[in-house]
Order: sequence, then C-alpha cells, then structure tokens
Amino acid sequence: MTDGRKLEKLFKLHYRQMYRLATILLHDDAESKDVVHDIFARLLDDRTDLREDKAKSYLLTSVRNRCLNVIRNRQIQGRVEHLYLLELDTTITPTEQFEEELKALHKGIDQLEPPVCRDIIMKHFRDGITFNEIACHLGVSETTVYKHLRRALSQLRTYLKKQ
Amino acid sequence: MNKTDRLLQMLEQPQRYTADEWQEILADDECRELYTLMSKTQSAIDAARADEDITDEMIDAEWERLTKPHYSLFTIHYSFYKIAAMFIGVLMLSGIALAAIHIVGQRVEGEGNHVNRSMIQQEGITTPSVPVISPDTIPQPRIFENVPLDEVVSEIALYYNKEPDIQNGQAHELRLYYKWNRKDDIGSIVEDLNHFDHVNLAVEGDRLTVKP
Repeated sequence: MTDGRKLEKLFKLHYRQMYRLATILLHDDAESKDVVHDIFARLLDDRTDLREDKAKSYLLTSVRNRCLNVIRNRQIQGRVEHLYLLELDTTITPTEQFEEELKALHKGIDQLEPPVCRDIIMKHFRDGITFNEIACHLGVSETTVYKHLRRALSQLRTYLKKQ
Repeated sequence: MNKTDRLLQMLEQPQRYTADEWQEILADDECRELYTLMSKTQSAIDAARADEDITDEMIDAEWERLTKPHYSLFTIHYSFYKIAAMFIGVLMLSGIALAAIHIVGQRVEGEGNHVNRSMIQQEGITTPSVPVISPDTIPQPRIFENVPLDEVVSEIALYYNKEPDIQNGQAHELRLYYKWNRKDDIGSIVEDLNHFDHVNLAVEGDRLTVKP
C-alpha cells in the first residue's frame, strides 16, 4: 500500500521535476500544478503499491501522458494559443536533445542584441504581454515589434543550430 | 503584409481564425519553423521559471492543497454517501470571501459522469504501472483558481463555440474557484456558475452573456 507518508515523501522528492516537465509541455503554471495535483490525488485514493524504484519513471510518464491528453483535447486554436508544439508524438517528448535545446535557448535569450529584442522576448514569453500591448508601451507599430521579434528569433535559431 | 507578420498577428487572437486558416498558415515551412521556435522559446522560459519559482515552501503548500481538501471532502462524501455530485466554489468579492458548497442531490442516480464534479478523484482503481498513452480519453477538467469571471466566461464560451458577451462591468472584480468539466454541456455549466452570488449567466443564441 502506498501510504500517506510515503506519498508525501515521493511528492516532495519529485514535485519539481514533474512540474517542470508539465510546464515545458503546457506553458501554463496553473494547469501544470493541476496535472501534478491530479496524479497524486489519484494515488492517494489508490490502494495499490507504488514501488519506490519505479516511482520516478511512473510519475514522469503520468505527467507526460496527462499533458498529451490536455493538448490532444484542444482544437488547433487552443493549441496555438498556448504555443504547444505541433508534432505531438515525436518532438514533444522531452528527450535529452530537447533539454539541450532549452538550455541553448536560455543562454541565447540572455545574449540577445540589441536589448529591445531581449526585452520583447521577456515581456511576451515570460510576462505574457501581447505584442499589441508591447507596441503601445514602446510607442511603435505592431509591425516594428514583429520585426524585432523576428530578429530575436533568428538569433535564437543560430544558438539552437550551434549546440 | 508578409506571411510571418500574419502568423504573429494571428497568434495574438488565435480564436478569431478558423481551423482551416490555421492549418493553412502552419503548412507553410517558414511559418511553421517560426512557430516551433516560439514554442521552444516559451518552453525554455517556462523551464527557467520553474527552476526559480518552485521553492520548498511552494511544494509544501501544494501538498497541503492536495491533502487538506482531499480528506475533508472525503469525510463529507461518506457521511452523505448517497450524494454523488458536488462542487465547491469560493467566490471573492471586494476582499470578502464567500464559500458556497453546492450539493446536487438530484444527479445521484445514473449519472456517474457527474461524480467527476467532486474534487475527490474517482477515477477507478488502477494499477500504477507505467501508463500507456490512449488517444481519446476524457477531457481533463480545467480548474479555475481565483480567476476573474470575465476570463472564465471567455474561455468557456470559446470552448463551446459561443461569443462571450460581458455586460456586467463588475465581472472583472469577481474572482472564482471553479472546476470545469469540459465534457459537461454548456447548460449545466451555466447552471452551476449561476449558483454563485452575483453571477448571472445566460446562453442566448450563439452568445454566452454575463448579465449585470
């Protein structure tokens, strides 16, 4: 039996990684928390044993499957709204290569030039501000924001290729 | 306007465009590559945010969230064991928190799907072996946590192909906790939400209206 104390230990041990995987796939803080929450809520009701040596891979696979279900159940508009990856079964599975790509992108974002490019990337992708709002804030047209964004993304593309 | 500008513009309001328009623009190699790059950039930023934000305190709080309501509801569930459907909502207005527990007794018989409305996970006993991906499973419930009413309504409206129509100026000040089962029809969702004080929704043709 997976008792409460054992589950609490597993929760605290694996939460970070589970949440991280969910948020990489779903791009949403609340939904990612819910995915991890639901997995453990189910385990709390479940009376069967979760073997400790298999726990980590079981938990991470559960996260992945739940996230894939969330994505599958959305129509194309909902998918692009959350910027989900388009190729579900091949590229969406975070592999070592995907992790490397994320690392390279993270490094690339820090080095974007000129600063306005980095600013736009952070405002949009981290703070969730729309391009339209960024344009208003900077006092430029949306097309100008798109131009900076494309410039930023093309720099990021070279970082991806380098790694 | 060039096609990548159009893609970026479409991404600002994805629901305004049809599935065909999306398929078409994403079939273009250049647009698809740009989109994929944006998706990965989002993942990279989210991963970094996860590394920074997930503190031990937050994990403890999430564990509390998991266990506290779980066991209290568990007790309620068994003392009213005939009651199969319930939902709990908390609505906050101007700093005053009102808790509303709504127990739907009539839905007991023969409507097993409403059990999911309960916060107790009743997904059946399964062996925790490594799960297999099944293509068409039940939609995941969406939990709105302290989300303004207008955002809740907009999201729900879009899912059911309705136009949100916010006529209540206070809709943004009303925040709610609500568990939305996407497989429920819009009528029962509206009925549920209308149990909150100050919430008055109606489906009118192809609009989902928030009345004053």
